[in-house]
Amino acid sequence: MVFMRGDGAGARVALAAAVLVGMMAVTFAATRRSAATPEPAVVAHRLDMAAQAGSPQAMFLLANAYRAGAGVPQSNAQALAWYERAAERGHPSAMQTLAMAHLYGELGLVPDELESRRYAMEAEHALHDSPPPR
Amino acid sequence: MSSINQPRVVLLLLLGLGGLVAGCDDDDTKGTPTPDLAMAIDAASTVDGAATSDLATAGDMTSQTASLPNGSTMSLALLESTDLHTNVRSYDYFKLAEDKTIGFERTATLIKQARSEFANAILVDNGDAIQGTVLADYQALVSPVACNQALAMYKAMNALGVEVSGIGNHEFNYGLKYLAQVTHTPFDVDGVDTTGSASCAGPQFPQVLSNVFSMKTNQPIFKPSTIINKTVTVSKPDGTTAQVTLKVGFLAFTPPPILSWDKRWLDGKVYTKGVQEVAPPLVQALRSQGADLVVAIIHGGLDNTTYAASLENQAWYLAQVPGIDALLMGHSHQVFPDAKSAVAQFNLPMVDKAAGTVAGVPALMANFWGQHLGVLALNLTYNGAWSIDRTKTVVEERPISTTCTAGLPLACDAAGKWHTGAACPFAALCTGKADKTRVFVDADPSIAPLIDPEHNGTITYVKTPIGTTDFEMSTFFAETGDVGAIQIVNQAQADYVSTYVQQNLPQYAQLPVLSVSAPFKSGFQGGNDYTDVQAGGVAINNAADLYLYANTIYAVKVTGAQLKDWLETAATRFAQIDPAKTADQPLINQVQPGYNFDVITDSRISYEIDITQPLPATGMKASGRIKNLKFNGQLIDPAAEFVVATNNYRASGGGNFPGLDGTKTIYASPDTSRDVLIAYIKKNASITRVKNGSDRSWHFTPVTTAGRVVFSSAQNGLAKAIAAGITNLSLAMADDGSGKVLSLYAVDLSK
Repeated sequence: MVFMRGDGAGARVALAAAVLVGMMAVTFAATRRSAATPEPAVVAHRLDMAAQAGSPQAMFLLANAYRAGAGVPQSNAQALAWYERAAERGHPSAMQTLAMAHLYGELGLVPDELESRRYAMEAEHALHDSPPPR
Repeated sequence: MSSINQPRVVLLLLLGLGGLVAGCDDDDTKGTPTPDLAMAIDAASTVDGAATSDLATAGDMTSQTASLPNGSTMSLALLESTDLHTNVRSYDYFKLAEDKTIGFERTATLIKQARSEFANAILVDNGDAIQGTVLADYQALVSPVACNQALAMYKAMNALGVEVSGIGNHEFNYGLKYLAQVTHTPFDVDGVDTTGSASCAGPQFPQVLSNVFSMKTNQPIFKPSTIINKTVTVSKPDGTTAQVTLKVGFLAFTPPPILSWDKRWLDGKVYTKGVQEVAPPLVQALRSQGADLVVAIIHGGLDNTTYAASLENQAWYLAQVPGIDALLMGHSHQVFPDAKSAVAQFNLPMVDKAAGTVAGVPALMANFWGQHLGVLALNLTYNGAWSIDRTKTVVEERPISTTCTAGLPLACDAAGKWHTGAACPFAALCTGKADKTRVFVDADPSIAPLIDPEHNGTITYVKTPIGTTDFEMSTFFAETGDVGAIQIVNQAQADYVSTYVQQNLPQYAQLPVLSVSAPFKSGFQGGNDYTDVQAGGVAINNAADLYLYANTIYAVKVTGAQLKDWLETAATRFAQIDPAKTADQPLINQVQPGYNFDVITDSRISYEIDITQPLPATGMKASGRIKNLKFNGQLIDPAAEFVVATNNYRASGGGNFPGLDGTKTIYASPDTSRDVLIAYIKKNASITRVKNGSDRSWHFTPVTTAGRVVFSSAQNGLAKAIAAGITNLSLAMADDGSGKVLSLYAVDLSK
């Protein structure tokens, strides 16, 4: 599994929670590797657990699920909230998603070019600052 | 009131102990603090007395301060810039246009205002100054800065009177030889010739770095600490003022992961330590040297995970080192303090995000690219020694731009002031302005002229052709089949990934390497919102038009079935067409943005998109539109495997494409697609329609419709479509009525 910047260091929680992150990350990774594709609701539930435990990548994918209504009721507000949480933890793709959403007025947002620019700059900075491992 | 003067340590004792432990300090992996007294002595010997004109000698300080009556007071402001990344001007070198949201020339205005507010102010830069824009690359790589010239960024910092700086991780990006030259610091490290660097031009202020050491000498490569002898104005109890010298000690830290981020430059040459190993003896030494205040600069943020000397963000631990009076943070591109911040690192234990303290130590972080100036205002009282009245400390971040709400600027308080009570420059700018209007401070006019040659040289470089094209490369008709602005991107990405896989990933070397890219600019904002590179010379700014975003290249491994799913999702860019309808039907499904319309442009691949098939129901996977997906003329086996070059956004789940969730990534490159494209154009200087703009892998499944299928694009485009081989279009309306300078076109899907 290739994690983005912030996925490791981003689990800024107490040790017990950090262990939980690891367990959840393993669980949802195993889910995604399994031959039989699990039900979207099962995937979303596992993402939710990993996201609640602090995994930025799980937060990002959970936001995707809310945006699409895949396994959870469609909710732009929930999607936005989880994209923002992932972005706060330095997840570049979450920042890029928010940059585009603010630019194009997606997820119920009013188009705001400067807010889009802010997220795009943050994404660029995050991508440059910690290149993922080769 | 907390005392800031520590018990003085006998220097000779330190010297003796330092001699005993010298040479035993090269293990940066153990968690146990190992005070490096040899280094502390080194720190104690680096008192800066000539950095700025208002410095006095230590001797003056002693006599002046000693004569001060008890009860004397003063205010002192620490001003921080950080992560400037060579954004001297408010300028976007890719767009060749002003960008007022960024730029040190605007921070400069805030700096000068703060200096007029505070009689005593010390300007500090946190690091990440010399890399990050085309201007930085221009001076490092294209037209290398001469030894007798300071970098443009340092010219501006010198002019503004920066008095001390830290060293960020990006300072190492161009290598140690370059860094030695531009910082006039002759590192003594293996394999790097820094001869002559000491006499080069550069920063006219001390640069401090406490936690990076030469493997050759075990000594810090920069000064590990420094003391600024700052002439300050003091109020005496009788109401008169006096000038005395305040000794302000600095130490500074860079993120230890520089060793992996810049491994090619640093491997075998330097090593790092963490704050718990390095800071305590340095603080002690600064105090023993007479520092009245100790300020810690850290190019890092807050992280309370279990301490390790290699932790990226160590400011949370640094704040807990006794004897530090102020903490200036950077690196994680955030604003601190900010009472409303939901950022996880600012919601840790012992962090007061409203007041701006970490473990009780006043702290700040001033965002990036010059967007904010950090102001940390201390009030001190003299009673035989200076002490800080913490009840009067004010920490705030001052932005160069803000938005208006109900006629008032968000950045100022209700009375139009900063938190310190000084006038906020935005106070009157929102009067009569609509909500969400963005207002800016003016640029300081003295900065731009300082770097005119470098700025103009960079612009000339950006405009200099790196290749030619024999056709107009545009996205006007990308959604009806023109690949003229996409294929070159795919070719560059595939070439880059293919080379990497062959050299580094032998287990995938037999797999075909494909590439996808999308028309990033597809008219959302009107007729000018398209990629459009004219025939003729192709320059770097044109490459930036062809690849709009700062994405990095990723490669994923997918099966034939997953590739089909990928294209199915991309095909939701199109609305469902009912062939029987006689009324006009829109071609485009606006719910799916153009930047998610990934297409393959590869002579080996062909596929159809059948837009008579429905869009997926909410939450369901797209399917049923991609037909006859073939590789080398054969239907693709769902179990076949491919490597696909794409970007970090898509590979990690952006756009919610099935299966693309980060688990398929086999290579996460640190290089941007844009830089890879620039390199590819340089290498293949002649771009032609035949070679780079005609491999149309996809077509609509032919269908005869009773009515028209219509879409908007730039005006006067038909001839361009025909030139691109798209011959099934007609003009429906010269102006589509949107007010965005667009025409309405019809596409004949039977052809």
